[in-house]
Amino acid sequence: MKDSRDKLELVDIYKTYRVGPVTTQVLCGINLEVAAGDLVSIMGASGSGKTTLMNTIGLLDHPTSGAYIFQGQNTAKLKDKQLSTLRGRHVGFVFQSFHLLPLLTALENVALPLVYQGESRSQMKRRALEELEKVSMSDRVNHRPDQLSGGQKQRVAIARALVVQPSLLLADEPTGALDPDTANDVIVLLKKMNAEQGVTILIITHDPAVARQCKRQLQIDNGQLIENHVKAAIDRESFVPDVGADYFAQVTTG
Amino acid sequence: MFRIVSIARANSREALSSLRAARLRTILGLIGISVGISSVIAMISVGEIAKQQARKQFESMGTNIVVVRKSHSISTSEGREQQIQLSDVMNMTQSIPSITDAGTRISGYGGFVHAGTEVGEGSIQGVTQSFASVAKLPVRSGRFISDLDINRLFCVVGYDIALAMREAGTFEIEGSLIELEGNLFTVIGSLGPVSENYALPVNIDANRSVFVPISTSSRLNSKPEIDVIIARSRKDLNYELVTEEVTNYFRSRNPDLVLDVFSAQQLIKQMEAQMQTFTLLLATVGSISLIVGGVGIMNIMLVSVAERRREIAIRRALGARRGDIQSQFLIESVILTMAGGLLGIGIGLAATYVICQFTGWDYLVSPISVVSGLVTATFAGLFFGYQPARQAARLDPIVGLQSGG
Ligand SMILES: Nc1ncnc2c1ncn2[C@@H]1O[C@H](COP(=O)(O)OP(=O)(O)OP(=O)(O)O)[C@@H](O)[C@H]1O
Ligand SMILES: [Mg+2]
Repeated sequence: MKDSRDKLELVDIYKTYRVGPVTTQVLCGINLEVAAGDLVSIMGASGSGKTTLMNTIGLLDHPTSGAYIFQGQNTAKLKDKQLSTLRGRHVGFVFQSFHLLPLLTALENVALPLVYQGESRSQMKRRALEELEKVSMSDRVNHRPDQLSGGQKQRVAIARALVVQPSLLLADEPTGALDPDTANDVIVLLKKMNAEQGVTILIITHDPAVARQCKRQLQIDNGQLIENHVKAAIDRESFVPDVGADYFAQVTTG
Repeated sequence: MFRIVSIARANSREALSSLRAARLRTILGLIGISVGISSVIAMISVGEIAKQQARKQFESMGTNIVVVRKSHSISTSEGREQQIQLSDVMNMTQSIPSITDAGTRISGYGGFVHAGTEVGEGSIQGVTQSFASVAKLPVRSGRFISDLDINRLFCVVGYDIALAMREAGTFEIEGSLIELEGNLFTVIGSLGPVSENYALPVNIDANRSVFVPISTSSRLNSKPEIDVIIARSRKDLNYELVTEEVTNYFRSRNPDLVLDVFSAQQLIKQMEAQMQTFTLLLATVGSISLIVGGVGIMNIMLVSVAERRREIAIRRALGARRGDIQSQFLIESVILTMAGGLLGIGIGLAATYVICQFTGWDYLVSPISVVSGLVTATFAGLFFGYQPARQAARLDPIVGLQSGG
């Protein structure tokens, strides 16, 4: 699963928005290397550019300058079609407001990324059911999003993000719309996916408790990233054994 | 390759459910397109049926028919006074190599009284013997007028008149008497039913007519004028040659007499030209309503794209290429126009049926019209869906994710 190609690297990334005469410098020289299988949190004030950074990493947005190496390729040189293909195969998105398609059932929502991979119908269904099983949503397969609770919606969204077996999962405030208990469920689930499947996860969050559960913690400030090395080092010592126990405790109680 | 099939299949299913979700808008768009498509269907069907009808009429009439008529476009009173001479008609077969048979008539109008009751009203046609063969009048009983019946008060009655006489109590029609405009005629024969050929530039109306010798009619009629000659040419002759020979013959007889000479091929061509005018009219109506309907579809699709910006952005985040989004919206608009097209085909065929009821033509479903309707609908979907689909494909996913829709 882990592959040196799966590491990603941002070199001196700048992003400037120009609305009329006003220019906003959102990202000012971001340098970041994320190893395959890492679990990274990014915190920062509102409007500090977290979503912009995440969209750039997810190949949805294009930096004004700088180099972004993803899957061993300099993404600046790629066309929309190649970017879409890379995004579809290697990146999974989880959003604060879930962003499930309202007309599709949970199963169809989860299968949707596979449509763009050209999977056969039976394969799509099999894979989607598998992922729904992993997020304990097997009994809500034919429910539409408006028939699901917030936590259930986010679990379906996580299943959808993982259905293509991406190397990178980007979660933009995945717990922002959830109550503390449900939020914890979701974080535990993400940690489990990171531990079991080795998928690299970047979580944007406002919640220090969420950030503390990550292997590596970053702070975005004035358009630049600051690393909390000390904390990360401590966490990495005691983190791994905790994951399994934490997860099973949650499943049995919740 | 497999990817395209998979996307197309998933998209058409989703297109259906999203169209269902916007029901009212969908219905409005359907109406517009279906009016357009039904015009296309009616246009092609009616054209096809009319053509078929004309062909059938000429088949029964024979394609070697030649009709000579005094030109309607004569302007001088001197020209109008010129008459076709009976002797010239009688000499046609001998003098014109391409003509094998020629008959003529003098047409009058009057009421018919039999056994004290009015049995009909219609034209009293003074005819030559050949008129029966050139106009294909079927003699059912007795015999037709002969050229030897000069000045005799003999007549042959049309189908409707014979029926009326039977209803008046006469079983033996031949030999019975009928009063035409004050003169008593002896009936010598009766005709079977004849269907009128509207493609000919002459009315015969045989069913409601009484035929008498042309010599008798010239004597009784206050203004005995030959109004038409019907002739037959040898088969497989170039119609231009035939018309030229006939025209030259009459010009040599009377240079001041202006005639119109029609051949069957010419009449068919003329009818087709008329049909073209009709087709053009329907085509205009059809394309106007198609454009109106199409603009409606385009509007629906533009609104749909605007409302579903977030959906588009989510799909892009999940790996959809610009082309995938474009094809999704194109499929949606084609589904919309195809549904309108199917509805339009139904309406168009029904309208054609009504037109056939009015004109008395035989109704048939023209497969070409149905195929053209479907092709037009598909094309309209692609054409009017293109711009909205392009807009959807070009949408910036970042903007879409931030938007409320
Ligand atoms: N499409 C855009 N056009 C212009 N400016 C934009 C656009 N998108 C974002 N910005 C600006 O960029 C800055 C960073 O936005 P971003 O959404 O990345 O912040 P954030 O850190 O995710 O905030 P939050 O925590 O509230 O989600 C903001 O000041 C915002 O106004
Ligand atoms: Mg944000």
